[in-house]
Amino acid sequence: MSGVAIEVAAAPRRRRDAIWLALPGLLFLAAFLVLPSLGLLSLSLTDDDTGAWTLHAYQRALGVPVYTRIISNTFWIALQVTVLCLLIAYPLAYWLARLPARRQRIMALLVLLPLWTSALVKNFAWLVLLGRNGIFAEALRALGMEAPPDLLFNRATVIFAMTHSMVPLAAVSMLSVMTQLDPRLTQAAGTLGASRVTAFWRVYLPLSMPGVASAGLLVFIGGLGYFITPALLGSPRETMMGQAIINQVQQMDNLVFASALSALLIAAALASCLVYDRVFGLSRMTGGGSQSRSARSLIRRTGLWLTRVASTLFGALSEVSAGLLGGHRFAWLLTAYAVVVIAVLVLPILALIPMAFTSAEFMSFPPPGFSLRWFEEYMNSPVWTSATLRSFGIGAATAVVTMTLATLAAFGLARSASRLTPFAFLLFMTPMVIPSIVVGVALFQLFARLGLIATDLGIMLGHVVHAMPIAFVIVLATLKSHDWRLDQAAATLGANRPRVFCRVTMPLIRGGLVAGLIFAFLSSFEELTVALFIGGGLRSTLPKQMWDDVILQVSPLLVAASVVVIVVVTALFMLAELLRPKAGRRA
Amino acid sequence: MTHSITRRRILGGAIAAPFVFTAERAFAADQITIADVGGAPAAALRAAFYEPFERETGIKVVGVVHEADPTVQFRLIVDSRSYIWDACMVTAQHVINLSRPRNYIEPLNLQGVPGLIDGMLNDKWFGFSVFATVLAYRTDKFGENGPRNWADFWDLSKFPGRRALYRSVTGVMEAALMADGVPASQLYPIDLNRAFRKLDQIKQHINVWWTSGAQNTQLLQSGEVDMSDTWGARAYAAISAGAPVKMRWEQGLYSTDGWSILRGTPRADLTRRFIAFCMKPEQQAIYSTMVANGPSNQLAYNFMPPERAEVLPTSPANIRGLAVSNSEWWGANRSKVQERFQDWLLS
Repeated sequence: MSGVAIEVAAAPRRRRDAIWLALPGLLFLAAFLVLPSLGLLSLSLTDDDTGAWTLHAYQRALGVPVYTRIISNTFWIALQVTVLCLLIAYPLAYWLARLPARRQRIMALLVLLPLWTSALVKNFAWLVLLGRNGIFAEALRALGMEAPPDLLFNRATVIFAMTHSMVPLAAVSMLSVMTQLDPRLTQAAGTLGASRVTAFWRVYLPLSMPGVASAGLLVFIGGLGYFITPALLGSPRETMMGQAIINQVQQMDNLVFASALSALLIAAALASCLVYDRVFGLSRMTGGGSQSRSARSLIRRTGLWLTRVASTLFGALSEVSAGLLGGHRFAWLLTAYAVVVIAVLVLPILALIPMAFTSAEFMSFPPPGFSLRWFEEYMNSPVWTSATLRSFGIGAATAVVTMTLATLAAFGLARSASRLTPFAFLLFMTPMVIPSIVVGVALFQLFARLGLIATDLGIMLGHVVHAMPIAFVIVLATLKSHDWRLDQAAATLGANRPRVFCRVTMPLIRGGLVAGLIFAFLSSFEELTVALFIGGGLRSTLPKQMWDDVILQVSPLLVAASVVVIVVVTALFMLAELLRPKAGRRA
Repeated sequence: MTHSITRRRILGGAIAAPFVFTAERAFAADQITIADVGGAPAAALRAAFYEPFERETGIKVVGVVHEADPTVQFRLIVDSRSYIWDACMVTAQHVINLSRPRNYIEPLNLQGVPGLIDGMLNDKWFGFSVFATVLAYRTDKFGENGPRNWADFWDLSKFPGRRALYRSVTGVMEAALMADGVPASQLYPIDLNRAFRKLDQIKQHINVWWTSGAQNTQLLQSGEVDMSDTWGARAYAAISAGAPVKMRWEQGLYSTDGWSILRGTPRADLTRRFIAFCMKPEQQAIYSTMVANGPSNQLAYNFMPPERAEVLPTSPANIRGLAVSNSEWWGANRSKVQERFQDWLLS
């Protein structure tokens, strides 16, 4: 049974290694991220007053206990969020993968719905809903609890809110791998006598691991960079690196120390990526030589052993329960679970709708009265409507450019046998690893020379950098599970390489491409820091417009803007479903 | 066929998005760009200064919003000489940071006008919007007899309830010292050991350490806490929205927002004319009627209804209870104190 992974003969030697396909993306990142950031980060080695070389900033960062505590906080919180996200998202993705295509799209829309509101709005919604006088505390009081527990300003809330915001990403990146698994493999296991439990643990789970691995990586590295959620929903004990770095830049006005903290965070995050890549082999060539390295095969053996144990354990459990309950199979449990998870994901979005129709000056739930004033204000404000349009425009352009570069690169890496692949992989992860404020400052310095400050093009280029890792990892994971023998078959039948890609590979990895496109769009749509620095206030995107408004006070205007976006997106989705030709429907 | 149709939809939809790049940055000759704090004050700035100035001089004023702390953006713009802003709304503390080691601020060369409070105009900065860090409490919890001063805020038995404090040193250190009996005139240099000893007493009873003005307003407005330190205009926003909140001017601490010009901007002279315009008491009166920040020109009170003066920090009755935040001392010590404070919060 250890031969579950698809073993293929190694790809025939090519004249050129496929890694050159990653070159456009690598050059883009080198020009618009690595080189400008290195200039800024090298500040960390200088003295603030004299400019002489010194390690003083690093001595302080590692010598003062508060910073080491913040670093360990950051890693610990990100790790907990990652584990929770994987555990919660896997069954959800599994359920989604088995739905008919149309229902799957509708459910995926619901899962992704919370990502269409700005993080700010969602966090303030949590403040309102979970507050001392919020709806949950009232409900607990109504149930007879004298003093409901504090639902805010503690670690559990921060982890909950972060998990809430990243489960969609985890679920969809797993889904893009699961949808292309060949269902006949599980059926074959059944034919050979495996129970459904065994078939899941020993066939399906190992095959879907690339999706789990990519989800884990994106959530963990993404989690390291969080700053709004811990600042608003946490106590000082939840202070994370992102916040500490921003504080150094903004409040302390200390770029030297901020870049030292950033460099430490970057080093630690890159090291995690490297270790992660060693373990899960995301950057290693697919479809051949998968058991060639001893480290890999040890990890692989451990993994397979674990799935065998789990399979036996759960197989026994299911036998016992089936015996007790007369053959009842609990299939409905999975559906119930998925419905509950989706409900929790959509909950703050549903709560936003009445909050937007409030007559009050503040976000509150339930609202004291009905009014359309905030929608009127939104519609009558050219600043808000133009910011919304600009966000959609920049998002669309970002998605196309990012996916072109990321797909080429992922394709190159997936087909390359070069020793350079782990480094190329790391480089594609760097935009997620470098704190956003460093990217913002570095890009400003670069774009000022290019005359791109306060231009839409400048913001878009920054957003392509920002969106690259998510798009890249999602496509790469999808390609990891792709059966390359189909491409070879097409080539044998006389198709040239572009034709093979367009007619065979691309249709098969479509799920991953769509997911990549959506997430590239979304990461541009919610990006704040680049828009803030490069836009300079003159070219406002929607998150930047919200941020401006929220510095001093959160008005329901932001909520109204979010509701407009959600309605527009849902309407576009329904329109696309209606226009979808019959041939495209695969129920 | 199904595949090619789908593919076209995926890519076609994105490319056909109605989107035109605009890479030009056109600045008319008679136009200046001012970076301000956004939100409610932005509307007041427009009505009191930008629009009337434009009507009077024909010079168009574009208001944009800067980050909560604009020093980095300020420096980046001057360093790269890409003047997307001409003037920026900053505090006296920012001016100190922007003056050393290198000077980033264009000299103002402006004459004062009658009525200006001392210290509101110097060669780099003109202050026009005075805000105070004060104590605010919920009247649904304490009625009219809530905590009056910082000693009351520290008094857990007389005023039980949920408390919030700013997760930053400025204002909090001074509050701790005043609670410990230090008179407002002797706050600086701050006795850190004494301040932290006093903070130790209350640390376990602070339910929320707030991080932004918006969060502070939300805490007071929703009743999440019963008392908190606040910036006057933040508490006033909650009050004017109908929340049962009262603020105390006693032992408040005031700072001022003002204009500085970005060094080297080609539109420095136009910007100077604008800043001189902002000294007019009748314009300041419009501003302070719209947001609860005090005018720096005392004559502005002649253009306002008397009841408005009650909520403004610079009105003769209120300014007596206030002390000035010492930006010189904070400029020199802030980083060290903040680090100690962070460590204290985490331990």
